[in-house]
Amino acid sequence: MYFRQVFLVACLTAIVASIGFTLYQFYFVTPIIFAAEFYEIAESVDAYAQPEPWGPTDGIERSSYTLLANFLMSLAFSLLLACAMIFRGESSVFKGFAWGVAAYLAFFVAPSLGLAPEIPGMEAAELVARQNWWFLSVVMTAIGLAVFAFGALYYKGAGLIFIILPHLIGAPVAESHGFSHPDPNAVMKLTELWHQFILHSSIANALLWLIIGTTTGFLCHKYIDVMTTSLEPNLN
Amino acid sequence: MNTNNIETSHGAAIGSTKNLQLLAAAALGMVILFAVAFAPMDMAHNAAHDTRHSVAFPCH
Repeated sequence: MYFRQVFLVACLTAIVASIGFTLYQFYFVTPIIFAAEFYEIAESVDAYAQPEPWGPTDGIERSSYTLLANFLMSLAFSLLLACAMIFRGESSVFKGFAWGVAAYLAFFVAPSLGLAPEIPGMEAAELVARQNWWFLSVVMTAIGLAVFAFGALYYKGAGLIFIILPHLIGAPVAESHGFSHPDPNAVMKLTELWHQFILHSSIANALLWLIIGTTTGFLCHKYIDVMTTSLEPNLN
Repeated sequence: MNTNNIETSHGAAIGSTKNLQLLAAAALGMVILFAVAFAPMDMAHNAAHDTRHSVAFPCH
């Protein structure tokens, strides 16, 4: 029963969250990606002609795939959040909000401190190394926050060590970070776009986790706490 | 579902599989997250491209 209910809660949350996130993204975030791609495409005209793999055509098709990807991502995040929240006991909108804030710190803020959000056309270290560090920082920050929030007073300091450790190890950095575009004016424009992108992606992700946290908390309380309390008298 | 009629053994069984079910749901979440965020195939990358950038997953 829990699996089915959690999946239902996550699906409903993902519908709300992906609509909210996609609207903000559509108006404030993807225009910056498109603007950066304009320079990226202009830059790669002279590059070796390679057969392009499939990709959605710009416009409604590309936006639809983004909405689908946003839905699946929100579904995954909500599944994880709901499982953690139910494992810890009863849920509420406020608890959901607190879990959402913690998840924003673990999934966005902590990895972004080492690997800032990037727009197309930026020089970066090897992809697999960056993905590994991203995963490491997310897991360590999540463990650190959990120890800090739920651990005994004596162990709370250990939580801080978990949070800081990935940053002591250090995120992989490219040999030449920045933009490789030959035109200095374009590089200036791209840098400006990048700063806007960091601001708007930070707001977009805060909005995403605000919706996922509170909605998951509300729905878990409505659909799952009821089930748990009705079973408890029979457990003895 | 009429939970009032659940017998002790049934209730205990549901209670004891709680963590297992939560683990399964979390595992499903991880699989979906990795498909959207990290799947290396060009098609998956191109379809989820704007999402990956917006959520600051390492991309390209």
